[in-house]
Amino acid sequence: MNEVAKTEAPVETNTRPVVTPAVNLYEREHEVMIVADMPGVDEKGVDITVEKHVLTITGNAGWNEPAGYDLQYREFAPVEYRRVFSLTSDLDVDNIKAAIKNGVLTLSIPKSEKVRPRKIAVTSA
Amino acid sequence: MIRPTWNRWDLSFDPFSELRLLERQMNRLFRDVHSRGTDYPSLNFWSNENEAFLEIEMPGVDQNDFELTVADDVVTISGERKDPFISEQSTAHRQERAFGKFSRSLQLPFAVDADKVTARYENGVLRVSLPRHESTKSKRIEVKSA
Repeated sequence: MNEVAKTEAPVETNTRPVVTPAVNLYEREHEVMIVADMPGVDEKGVDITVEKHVLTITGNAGWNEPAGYDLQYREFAPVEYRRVFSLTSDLDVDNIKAAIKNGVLTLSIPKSEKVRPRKIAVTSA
Repeated sequence: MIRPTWNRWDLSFDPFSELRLLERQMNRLFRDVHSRGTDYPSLNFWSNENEAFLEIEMPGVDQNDFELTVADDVVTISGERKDPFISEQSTAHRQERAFGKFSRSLQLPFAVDADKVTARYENGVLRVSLPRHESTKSKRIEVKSA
């Protein structure tokens, strides 16, 4: 009986369920863009980390459920958004730009200088 | 819950139909909370005696690109989600986010006073407070003793 009481309670780091945000990926001549839906999240709730070409985006919406009402119908709940990307080594991870607007996070990852197409000048002999 | 009834002597008897029904119901159950629903935009709806409250998720929709209308007890949200990044100079490698026009209506349990509706759009979430129309509120009748 006592053993049950000794069992450690699991550490709750976050009570919200973790959800994979819907993402669009675009490639342009000089950059790769990651666009992720994170409704309810503002710039304070976003966390972006890069470690050894593994990019992790996390978003937490800082909203409170309305008080004084009875819930009638629900299609979404406060969640934590999280998604991990592995980046190819030809991307310049030191110069990632990030912006969030209307609950959409946009990351712009420039391609490294060395892999950009370059025009080779040909000189006549 | 609707449960199909099967005649065991019927040749079309399908022993796995119950299992499939269960699968569908489970999928629906988990889809509703943990992923983006199939209807766009997703919404939450609360109410009390005097007011309804709506939360509508529409990330990426500009404030000028949607419209909220109220007619009696029906609220309609309509608009367009545009993709500002797609162009001839870009290649899309992954597209999980859909774009285009949308419209969705919800019938409330009471008529709403359209003049008193307030809405606030923040970080891709629209929050709407819809006060009940005075004429539909129940009134307490004073009973006088003779």
